[in-house]
Amino acid sequence: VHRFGDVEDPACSRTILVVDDEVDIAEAIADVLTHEGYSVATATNGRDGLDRLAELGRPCLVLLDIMMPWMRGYEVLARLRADPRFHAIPVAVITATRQPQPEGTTGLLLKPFDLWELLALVEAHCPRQKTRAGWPSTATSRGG
Amino acid sequence: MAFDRYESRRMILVVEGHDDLREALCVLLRGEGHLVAQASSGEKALAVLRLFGSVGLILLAWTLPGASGAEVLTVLRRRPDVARIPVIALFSRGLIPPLGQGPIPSAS
Repeated sequence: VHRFGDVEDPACSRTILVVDDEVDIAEAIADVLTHEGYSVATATNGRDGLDRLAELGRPCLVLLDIMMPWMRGYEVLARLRADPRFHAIPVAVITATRQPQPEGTTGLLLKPFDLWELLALVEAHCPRQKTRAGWPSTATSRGG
Repeated sequence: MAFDRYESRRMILVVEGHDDLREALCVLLRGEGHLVAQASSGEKALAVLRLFGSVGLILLAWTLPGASGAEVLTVLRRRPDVARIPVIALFSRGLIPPLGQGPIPSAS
């Protein structure tokens, strides 16, 4: 049984990578997650996202916008899955169009989505960096 | 399950152009246990509303860089998906329009 916030995989960094070409959207996600106690990095296109991945090592989760110019989320996903350094990183896709969840991803968020959907998805993969003021003190068990 | 803790927490969107004021409001509201998103302009606020569907209240500064609070509110009220979100308009002291004279369209 893992205590809430435990790191399950020591090779996994505590950072979430948000890849979205809309700066306002990427910043909004990063802002909310940061204040909920997570560490967040952002990238505003697919190429930048892959570069950030190389810097971050292994983020605990990638939130990937599907509809981006130049390099669509699908191509980023394919490159991730083909790279042995990154192929095991959980990826959740964000999209504004209703579609099936792409194979090999851990979740799909259809805009506009409720914030709790995002937080529950993130909580399943990432430990918090800090205790947030006002946050209920819980020791929720998860996993085995 | 994690969902239980989150579902009851509605998000408050704080739209304020002054960084210090916006941050102070966010700190205050987060301290009360609310989920808070922030935007420093009307355009950013509309982006946040395209992203999150669980906004329960908007605190909207009337004076903003770019689109004014009144313009943002007009756009909000024309969008069916967000038209019913309660909005509290934030005025600087001394700029509050006299009751019944400065129309605040559809603000709560």
